[in-house]
Amino acid sequence: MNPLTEYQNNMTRRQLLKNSTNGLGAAALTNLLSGTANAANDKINTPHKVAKAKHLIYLFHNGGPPHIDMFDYKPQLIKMNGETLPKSFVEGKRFGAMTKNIDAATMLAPVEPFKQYGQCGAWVSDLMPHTGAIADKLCFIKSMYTEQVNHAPAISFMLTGSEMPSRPTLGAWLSYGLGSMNVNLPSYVVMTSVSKGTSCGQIFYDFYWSSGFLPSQYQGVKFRGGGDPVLYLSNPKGVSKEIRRDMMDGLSQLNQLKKNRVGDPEISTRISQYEMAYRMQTSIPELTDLSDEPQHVLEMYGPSVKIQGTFAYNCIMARRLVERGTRSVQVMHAGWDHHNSITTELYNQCRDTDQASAALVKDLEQRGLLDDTLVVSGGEFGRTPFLAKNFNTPKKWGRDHHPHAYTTWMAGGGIKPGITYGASDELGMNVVENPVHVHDLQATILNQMGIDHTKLTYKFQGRRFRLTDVHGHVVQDIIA
Amino acid sequence: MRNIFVCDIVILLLLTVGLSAKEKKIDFDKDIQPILSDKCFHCHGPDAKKREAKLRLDTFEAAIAKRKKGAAIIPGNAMGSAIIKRMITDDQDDIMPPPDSNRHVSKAQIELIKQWIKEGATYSEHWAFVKAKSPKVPVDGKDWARNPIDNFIYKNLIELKLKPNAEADKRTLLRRLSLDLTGLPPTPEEMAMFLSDKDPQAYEKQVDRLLNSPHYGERMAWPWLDAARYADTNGYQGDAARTMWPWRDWVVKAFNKNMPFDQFTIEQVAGDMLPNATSEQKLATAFLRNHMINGEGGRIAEENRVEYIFDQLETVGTTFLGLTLNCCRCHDHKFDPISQKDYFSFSAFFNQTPINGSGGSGQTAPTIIIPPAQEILTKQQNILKTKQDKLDALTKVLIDEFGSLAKAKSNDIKWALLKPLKAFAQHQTLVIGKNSSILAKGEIPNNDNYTILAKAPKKVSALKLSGLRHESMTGGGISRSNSGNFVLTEIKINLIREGQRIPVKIHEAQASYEQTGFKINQAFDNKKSTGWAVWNGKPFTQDHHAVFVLGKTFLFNQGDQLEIGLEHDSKHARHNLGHFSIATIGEIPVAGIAQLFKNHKVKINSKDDFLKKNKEFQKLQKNVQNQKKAINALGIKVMVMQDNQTRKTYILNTGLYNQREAEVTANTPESLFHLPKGVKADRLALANWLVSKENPLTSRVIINRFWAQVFGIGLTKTTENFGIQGERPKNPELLDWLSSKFIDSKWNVKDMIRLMVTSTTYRQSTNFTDKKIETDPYNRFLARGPRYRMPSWMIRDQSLAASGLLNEEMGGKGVLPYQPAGVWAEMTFGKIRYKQDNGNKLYRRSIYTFWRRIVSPTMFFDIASRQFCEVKDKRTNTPLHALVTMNDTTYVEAGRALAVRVIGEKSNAAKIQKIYSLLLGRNANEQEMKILQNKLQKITGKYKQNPKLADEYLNVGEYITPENSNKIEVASLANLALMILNLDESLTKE
Repeated sequence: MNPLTEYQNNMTRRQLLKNSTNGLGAAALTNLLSGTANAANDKINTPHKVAKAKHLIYLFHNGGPPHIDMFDYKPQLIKMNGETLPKSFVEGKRFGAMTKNIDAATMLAPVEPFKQYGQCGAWVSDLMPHTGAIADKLCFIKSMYTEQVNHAPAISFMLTGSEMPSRPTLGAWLSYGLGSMNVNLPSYVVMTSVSKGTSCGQIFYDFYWSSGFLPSQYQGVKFRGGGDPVLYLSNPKGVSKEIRRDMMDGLSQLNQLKKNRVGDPEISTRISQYEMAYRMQTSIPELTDLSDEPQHVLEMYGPSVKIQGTFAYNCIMARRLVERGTRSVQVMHAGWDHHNSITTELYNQCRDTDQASAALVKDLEQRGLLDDTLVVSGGEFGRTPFLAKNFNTPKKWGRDHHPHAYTTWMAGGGIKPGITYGASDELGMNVVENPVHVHDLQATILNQMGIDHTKLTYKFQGRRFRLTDVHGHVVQDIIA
Repeated sequence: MRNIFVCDIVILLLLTVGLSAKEKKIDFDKDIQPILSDKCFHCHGPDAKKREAKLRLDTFEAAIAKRKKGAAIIPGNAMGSAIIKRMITDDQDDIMPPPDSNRHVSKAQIELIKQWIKEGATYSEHWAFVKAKSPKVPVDGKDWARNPIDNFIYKNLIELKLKPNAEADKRTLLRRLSLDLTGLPPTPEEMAMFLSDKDPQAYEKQVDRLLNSPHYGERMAWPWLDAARYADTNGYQGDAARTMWPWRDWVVKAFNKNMPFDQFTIEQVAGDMLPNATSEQKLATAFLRNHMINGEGGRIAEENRVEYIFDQLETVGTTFLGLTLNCCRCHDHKFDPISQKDYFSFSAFFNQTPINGSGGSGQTAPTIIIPPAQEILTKQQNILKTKQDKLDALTKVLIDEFGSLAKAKSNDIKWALLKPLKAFAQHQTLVIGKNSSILAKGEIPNNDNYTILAKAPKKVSALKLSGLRHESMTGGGISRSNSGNFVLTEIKINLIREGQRIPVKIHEAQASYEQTGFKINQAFDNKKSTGWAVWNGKPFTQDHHAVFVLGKTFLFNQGDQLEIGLEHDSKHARHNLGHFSIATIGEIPVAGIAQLFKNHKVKINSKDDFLKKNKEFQKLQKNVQNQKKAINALGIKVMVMQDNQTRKTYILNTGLYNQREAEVTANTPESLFHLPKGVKADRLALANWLVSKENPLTSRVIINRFWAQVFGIGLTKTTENFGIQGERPKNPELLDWLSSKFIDSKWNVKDMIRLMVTSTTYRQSTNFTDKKIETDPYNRFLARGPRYRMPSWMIRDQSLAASGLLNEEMGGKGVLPYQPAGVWAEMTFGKIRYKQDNGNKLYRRSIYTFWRRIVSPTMFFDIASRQFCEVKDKRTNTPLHALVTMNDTTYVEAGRALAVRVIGEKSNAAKIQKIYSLLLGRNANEQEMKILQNKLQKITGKYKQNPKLADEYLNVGEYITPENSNKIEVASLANLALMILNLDESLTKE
């Protein structure tokens, strides 16, 4: 008997009983009934609505990218460069403890000029020429706002809907709700990078890909920036593939004997999980082997595409994962925390992310994957339009945390291309049109994946939890 | 629709189980409350703010209250009750729960509610909030039962028509018992002894042996560390290390000495407040300080402080009370009768410590210093003694030297007055007096410069300028300025030899007094703007002197002259010296420049100064100081509790630190029982309340977790939630009986564990039958023995023990066993790197592994995050786990050590049997042996073809394979041993 089939049968029956008493969400249950992981057919049951996207790639920029230096073009800010911050813009607003002496703050113009791109005429900074060049494929949301002013809570808020650490992350919810499409690869993968020489990188806590109270198989699998992409993936030294196969056969046979003797269905699951581990030992090296990529594709991503642990490498890996059926990929790039490095490190950050982000969108499109894949790019908050340091020392110029308005872009996955949604005021300080709260963005992402954010729930501590807590509205206007 | 269908099946199943005895009335708490709570209370429950239509269904009075469209519940009249009408209506606008609420009441559930209303709609209190009464032990299963646990279990099995399994064979039983009580497998010797023991109490003897093993405490401690979110770092940015491990050792010791659980609780929650608290009792309170600490730059201290308190109270709430208090941070509880006010009143117990939330140190006060182990201390103190002896010896020599110097030289100091040949100024007239003093007369300019010319003495090492008081000066002072004070901005000394002027350099100087900002050194710094002055705010009562030591001792020739220039260029008007003299000395006393002041009764070079100038002395003194510091650092700083504040506590709107609402005082939740009257409501009162006989929760919550530890799943599976939304226990009478027994036993933990593992229930075999899987797939009713995959830490410990590598040393600083390179560095941008330990430390039990909070030890899986309180085991089954146990160096090496351990056996079969007995406590059967032999042969064949591979395999891990061994044989057998370590049976407690 094919152990996989039996595994699914066993899984289905066991999980069914378990879930019915656990009171799992409808989404998960429906999928379990139809078989979660089936590489042969494409029947991913989406219980709530037709899915526009099957995959999510979240390019997460930890640290707070400066929206006014990158996407949110403010001529008035340029005019007011060096002038004192008008009080009316910040009265009653909360800033981080690092923002001191707000009354004496001076306005700081974007550090580079902006240009208009494409038919949509979106303004994009010269820092981001490649992103500018694909502006017609993107939907810029310039009215994002959040409730958190510090990194860890704000990133948690963005990824889990709660500022508390260790709640289930977006990717975990998607795996839980929609299941996997490839039994040989994890359905939720996380990769991280940081620009060389970054002085203030935000640490990647493992709760940024936590499954929280969801069962731990939904936790993101972190691909590492060096060595084996998955921990413990390689055979120990001195064990060939053939020797390992002998061991696997022995394990399987002995476990089967045990199963026959004791009758515990869990043993069948164990047998199949060991087999999958063995298959991953082949499928992941195959995944990370870039030798089958055409030269022009590699070039599109930029010079560091072949270096494991860079943003460009992680981008092309995201495409390869999606191509193979991985549900969600979270690519995180740290170091956007420019309290005193807006004229120095910001340039490196943009250099290291601009080209590869744009390449990823183009690459997905060229392969016909963009329709099925939702790409989201943004951070946990923006940065202040005013200066954090002395105006007379440009080398130390910086901006502080700014939760009241920032920019995120989306592409593919049934989102309208070439549009800008929402707006901040003339200084990029506060949202003045079509505000999009973090929970709204989350609701919209789930919507595109075919999930009603109010219905994907998990009962924990007696309460039904959601990614969007008790909030969130789908931003209908940006849906194609 | 499918899911609804499934739910119904389950409900019906429950109905048949729950209502098998026909006469039985419907029990609100058991049958109805769970439905109402889950489907209705969210909008019609205790949370007043979110209550819809002002309708409340969680109390009888509210539910039967008259309403416009009729009461929600009319006792006896189901179809007349609005609640039923609204549940069965076809009107999509009217139906309850609303379709968009994602809640659905099944037909079976509606039937139940109808029946309950017909029977009178009696409400009763939630079972867990009512003190457990010790129920009568059923008479069922008399012949089967060994103790009352079995009677309760058997009664349920009769109702389910299930027959219990027979007793497991002795080998299985001892392995199960050893793993459950110590987390380690039995040794072959222990197994042999048990098998040959024909005493009817043989099993009980093993139970006692294992309960008395020091490894028992280590096993019991792990889940407690999960609940207490114990870790060796702070978490968050920087993730600084902390030294809380003495507390971890305290927990192990407490379990081992069978500290009564009430004491265990009181000491951890309020040990510091006990009368004459010992340092061990204070140490126990580190339990509360194990929370994360956020040192992120942008954090507001008060925000942190409030977070820490939330964490402390929620940890206590979950660990002891099984309550989800965290729900009430922002609003009244949706299901349980706990209000937001209750939450903040509870927080007041923790609000009186000096902790202010600032800083990111892992040793934030209050702390207690735990002295290091005596042997370490003695060793370091001996080193200190050697260093101190050296210093003392030198000090003695130097003091002697100083004494003789001071004696010999102090009388020899003879200043020779310089007799000026000429003295002139730019503006004033300088008059040379009889005693060679010089007096300024005439006009009083704002600034003036003097030149004094004298015959050079034969030998000059230093020169003294004395400002002398004079009646013609202001206030009898030294100058004709407004105060009598002067500012000497520059002194210049020149040698005049054969018409040449040669500058003489001043090396250092001291003065009898220096006015603030006018140091003597400023009189020879080549700056006109600075200088020496002597004003101390009072009239002059003494002369002032400055001694200038020259760069070397000058020997002057006949005819040489000294020219001394005194400049007064300061902005202070008229501050020119008015009366002064100059003297010289040939040789400076060995005791130093200050000695020159001896006859002026100013600063005298002290013994200490003399010592300090000696470089060797400095070095030795530093050595001693450093060693003392090192010894101090050996004391381990542990964060503990201390109350020394009288902070007011407020309800915080949505839990935000800066949004204060009404003031509250320390109190326990009002719907539970009250603190005793007249008791001061502080943390100690809270601790006593937790383990009071009146407390309905603590004993149940704790005993349920011990049960889960032994039987794999709690009597109520929601170990973290005993509230209304928690699962009603499968065997509530048993839980109540156990919890009463626990209290009656004076909270004797070992007795309770003994009771569980000596029950017939526990001793059953684990064999599954189709009927049992069908009726009770999760073995909640225990018609068979528990069979579960062990926690990952236990799998690791078992591998170390079976391979003989295990280092049984207990306690101490966390260790760093094998972990793939670069994991910490990648997470922290290279700021923190993993420095793997070597040798014996690699083989310590898992509980001693250093726990970095932002990236947990990678060799474990399905573990608590240790970021906040967790009281439930995770037990998933994923390929990633298989990768760890097949490829982690720890396991590969253990397999190899296991192979070496058995290599001396005569045949392959014997070797394999030895591995089986070490790991599984049994022999492989014939079928298994055939497979094992076959695989060993195949693997051996492959290594023979490629012997280099075998070499490589023997180099994984630090363990050294004996040199004379056959490498191919060891490598092959090691692979087989690794395979056996990965068997489902090895990973499983059964």
